[in-house]
Amino acid sequence: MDQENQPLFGLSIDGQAASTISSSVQWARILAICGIVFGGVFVLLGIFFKTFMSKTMSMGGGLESDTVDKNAALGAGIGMVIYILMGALAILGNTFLLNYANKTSRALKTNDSAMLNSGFAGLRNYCAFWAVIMILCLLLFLLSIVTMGLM
Amino acid sequence: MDQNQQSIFGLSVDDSNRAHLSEAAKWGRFLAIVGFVVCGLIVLGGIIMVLSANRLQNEMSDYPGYRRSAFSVFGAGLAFVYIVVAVVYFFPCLFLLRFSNAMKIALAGNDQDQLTESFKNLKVMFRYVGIILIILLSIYAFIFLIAILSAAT
Repeated sequence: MDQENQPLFGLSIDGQAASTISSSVQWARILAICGIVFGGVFVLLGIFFKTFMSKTMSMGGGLESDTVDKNAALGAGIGMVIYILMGALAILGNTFLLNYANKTSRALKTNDSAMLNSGFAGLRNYCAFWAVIMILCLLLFLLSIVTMGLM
Repeated sequence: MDQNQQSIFGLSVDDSNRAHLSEAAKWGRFLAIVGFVVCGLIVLGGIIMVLSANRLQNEMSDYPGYRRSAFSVFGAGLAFVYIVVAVVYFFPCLFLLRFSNAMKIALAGNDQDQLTESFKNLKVMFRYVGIILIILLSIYAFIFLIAILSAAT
């Protein structure tokens, strides 16, 4: 490795790195806010999903049998849980990103090392959170393939 | 703000920062690699869809009134959508992998240039995803507007 690239006192956030991080933080903030808003919308959709489904079923006016009603209610319940879970996960994941954006931005403005540390912790949490979600999704995917294979 | 938290030469990457960035790079690398696999699976899904559409086309060709072009367009359209989704998803994974690799090199060898390169890739990833989000929101807004206008007329 080129010796010129090595600073005397280890790595530092120099002007170029600071400007790059500052730019990344702006985009990260936009993404985080959009993600939190979408998460909120999903939670609301989940809450209204069951109400909407029960109203739709009641419009049918006794045409359906009890079994159909129960199955539809179960489906609406599962739909509600999935929507709320997805919304909650989106809100939680993007809160980490917002933490990274806000704290890093403040750290760069005030040269606060502790704040920069919290900001990078936010980035780590964001990556770790989505990686764990990804692992869970892959496990569910594998489980569904195995279940389909057994059926 | 506490004065002892400020470095004389500006912000420096201390041990705690190193630990956070190293872990972020590890998870980022994992996410990127899984993302590439998912991209491959999406392309594979597209190919399977096209093959299924073609098989259905061959099976349906005996029926009277069957239009061959409809299935061809459907299959091609489906394959196009799958490939576009895979290509769009490929780039943020690439930038994330570059961020992770450069960060790993920077932390291992105290390489300032690699650290800057790493943050540059993180910025590009966030910018890319942000632009895609803006495009998607614009498309949704456009569809919503058209739906309102068509409902009003």
